[in-house]
Amino acid sequence: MDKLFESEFVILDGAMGTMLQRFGLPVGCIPELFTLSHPEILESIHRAYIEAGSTLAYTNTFSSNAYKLAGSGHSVEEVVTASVCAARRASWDRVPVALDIGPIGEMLEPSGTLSFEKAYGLFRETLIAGEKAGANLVAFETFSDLAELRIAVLAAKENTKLPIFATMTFEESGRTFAGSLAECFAETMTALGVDAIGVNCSMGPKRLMPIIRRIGAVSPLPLIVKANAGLPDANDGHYGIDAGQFAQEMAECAEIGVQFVGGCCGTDPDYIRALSGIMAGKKRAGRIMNAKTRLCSASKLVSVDGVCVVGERINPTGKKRFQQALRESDFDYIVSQGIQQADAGADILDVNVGVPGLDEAGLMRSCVRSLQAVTDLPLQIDSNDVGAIEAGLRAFCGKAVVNSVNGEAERLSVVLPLVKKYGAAVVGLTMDGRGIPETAEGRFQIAKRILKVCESYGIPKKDIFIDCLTLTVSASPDSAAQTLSAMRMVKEKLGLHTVLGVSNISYGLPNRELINGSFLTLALENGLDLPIINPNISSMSDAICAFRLLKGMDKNAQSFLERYANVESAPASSGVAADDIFEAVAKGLKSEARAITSRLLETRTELEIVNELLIPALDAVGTRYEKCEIFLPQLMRSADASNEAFEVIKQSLAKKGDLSVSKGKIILATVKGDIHDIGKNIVKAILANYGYQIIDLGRDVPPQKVVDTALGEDVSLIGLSALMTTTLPSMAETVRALRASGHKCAIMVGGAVLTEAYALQIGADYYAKDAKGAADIAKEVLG
Amino acid sequence: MLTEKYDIFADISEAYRYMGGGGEMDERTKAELLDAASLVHENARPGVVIKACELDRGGGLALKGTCLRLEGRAVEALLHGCGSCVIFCATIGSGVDALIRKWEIKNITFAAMLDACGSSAVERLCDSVEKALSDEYSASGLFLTDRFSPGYGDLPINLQRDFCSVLDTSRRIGVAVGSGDVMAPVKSVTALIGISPAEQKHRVSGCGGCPALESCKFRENGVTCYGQAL
Repeated sequence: MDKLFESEFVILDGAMGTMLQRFGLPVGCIPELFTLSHPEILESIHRAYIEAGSTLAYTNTFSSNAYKLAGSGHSVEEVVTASVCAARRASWDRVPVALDIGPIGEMLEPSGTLSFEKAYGLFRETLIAGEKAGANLVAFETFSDLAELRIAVLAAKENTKLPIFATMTFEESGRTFAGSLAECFAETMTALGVDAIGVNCSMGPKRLMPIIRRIGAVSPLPLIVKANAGLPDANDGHYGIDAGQFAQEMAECAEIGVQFVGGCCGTDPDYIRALSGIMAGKKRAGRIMNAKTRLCSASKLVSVDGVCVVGERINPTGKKRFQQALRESDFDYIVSQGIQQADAGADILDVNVGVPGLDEAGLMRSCVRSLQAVTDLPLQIDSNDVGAIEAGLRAFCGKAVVNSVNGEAERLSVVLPLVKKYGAAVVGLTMDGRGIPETAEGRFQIAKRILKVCESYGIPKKDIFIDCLTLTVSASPDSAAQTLSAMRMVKEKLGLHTVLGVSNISYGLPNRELINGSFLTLALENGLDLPIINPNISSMSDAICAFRLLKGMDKNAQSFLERYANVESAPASSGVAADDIFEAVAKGLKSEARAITSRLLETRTELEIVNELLIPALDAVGTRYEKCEIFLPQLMRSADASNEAFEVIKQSLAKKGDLSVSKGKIILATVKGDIHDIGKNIVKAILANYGYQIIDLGRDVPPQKVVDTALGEDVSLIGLSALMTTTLPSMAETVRALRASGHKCAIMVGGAVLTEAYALQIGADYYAKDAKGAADIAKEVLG
Repeated sequence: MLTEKYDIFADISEAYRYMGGGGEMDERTKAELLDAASLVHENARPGVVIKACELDRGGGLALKGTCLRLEGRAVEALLHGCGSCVIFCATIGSGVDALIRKWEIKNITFAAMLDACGSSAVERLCDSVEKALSDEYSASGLFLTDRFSPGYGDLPINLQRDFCSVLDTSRRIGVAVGSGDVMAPVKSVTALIGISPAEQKHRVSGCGGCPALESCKFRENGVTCYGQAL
């Protein structure tokens, strides 16, 4: 095994599926079962590859997981053991054996219904069986979703000692079908510490070379290319190139410095023989690396080599409305703050969900998952709670930042192992048990200490960001100068990136925006790389934009011109009177609804506005809808406008410390197995407008979760949605579970394939024909 | 490259009906739907896998050399007289799912428009595939039946899983079938078309075989989901 990584080139084997089909496996059947019925054929295929020059055998276990094997009558352990043993017998253990593992076959959330935990369990089962049967390493291949691959790698690292190969399948653009980017794959896998990475399947060798070059430029790990025999024809599935051409095209791997080479779909022992022949006389070129600091999600790479904006808005400190959202698990609100900051130009989102009395680790996990479902920015996991940091790091797919450690030995010793394990970057605050040193020199010394400890954990220098801490200038006039000077020292003498929250500088002063903007510009000039700001405040974003332009970081002033050249003129007046909320809702005008509500709040109470203005306006719209004068699109637009008005009211109430305007709680859920939830979300938007508090359990919701929430929150109206005929049984099961729990509640059901008769048959109380119908039912049940 | 080969720009009148619209579209809705259609088009990464198979009629209807068996009377009627058929899977990709998810937070009305345009776009893609196949086969003097999908009539929807296995969609175009027999990306379609030496009289288009016939909200509004007045 050790020799494997020392070899100039390691010749891998070729396709397994292609060979099995030649031996009579019907198309579409589970290839792994063939091992059980025809072990001698399996052995002969492995032997043919070894004789052709392959020095590492991939087992026939690509889809040996409990999901794919369900109903086959065979266990994962049985299939994996048989396949590993067949590969070992073929060479009498003279060549090492790679346990081959592909994707589960079901899409991971949020695209599909497979959860992190379930995927982890499935991979673990296969991995443990493979190691036990004698595999020498694990090769994860043909992955399309980086998040799934990352779970597989965590399962391998936490349950086996097997070295890890990881390859994904890409389109020519350098993205996978699931949207994962080649560089993000390389960065994330390198951070996690796998043993070799690369590409397999996808296309023929020629088109894969640009992609492996991109991966190799980001990662120092050994590289793998296991290419198809050309592109398959869309009509007949046949692969385009022969063994000779395949080998010719693969020869480029030597120049790129690829160490592991082999074939995928459409290749056979002839291809491997030709490949082995052509590589025999070649030398593997040295690698040229680009050692920048990079952060990423699965689909977006952020290079920290200019100014990167860290958005600070996802933080409940001092924000009542945000705290309320966390208490009610209203992740839509939290996530909308993320989207707003992304739209305003944030490069990274800081995520802090610490509210006393709430389960911070659980909230961090949910919040990270919700955020990465709708934004592609890398996240900065911000918490004092080590459990919350780990929950956030584990849930986030990509390379994150941890905020933060400081000079205290204890904090360093509990947080840094997590930073290393999940391959994150880390923010170090220049303070310790004695507080924040007054002088720049004092803070510099702490930064130096943090650097040293980080390096002892194997955290590379490029991933350490130092925060020299902003103090309030009104309290200590010299503090701004000390911060700026410390930052310059850290940057110049230690060569580390710097991060700084700037708005604290102006605390207690009038015209804070002026001070903040001026301090930001000074900080940038003194070496600040990662300002933590509210990007929605345009003076802050303006200052950064101008700084980038003036420092020559904005090529051809492209970003500057994009931001300022096309500033839209103010929209024409909508013709709605300044206090006519009724008209604003009827016409579906969001900004008007917001502005009018703010004005109305000067003279009327929140409840008056809801009960006397908003709800009657919605009722009028609803009546027109029922008369077919307007249709769903127009109804929804009115609901949107009314939602804007409601948001203003909620903020006003939160400020006063009132709980909410809630007229009662309603649970909404798209049932287990179903991922079509836009219908449910439309219902949610409409119901929220009538002042109900919606507990949205999302989609693919297990019956027990509905029951537990109904009991735990004492909810008396439950709405269930299903779009597919195949998921109607799980709707029926959910209704049964609710009834069996003895909890007194009304159940309404809806969805495209549902009928009133079916609704009653499965024991629901109401059939909601559409969103308006659901609102009528809610009024009847909750008032 | 497939965007050039196949037309996948959503038909906004169709999308309007998908989202429950009726009557004449107002100007604002029309403009917003057009924006939605463009955004879907920008974010779509269409993929198609096609496989032609001979039919095996020994002991039920099956596709020769594969694990796919076709159940139900509807498909039998459709493939009457056909010696072979084409199965395919078409998708506009996971980017559109992500786009819709994001807009569900930003603006639910626009999200519903994107969703409807996504449905229309994948239908357009299927129409294009069908047209290309029709041109190809008619050149060799063969005729195609109507397009038929799992879930139509009595062809079980869970056959989507076998369609996807035989077409190897997960590896080829990134389409997988989940535990509730739901495909991901959501805007994906599996279908089959019979190939016959004689022109096919049997037609399946129309509402007759639709499982949603009784509960159809389009028909309630006096139209079909494919835009014809009742």
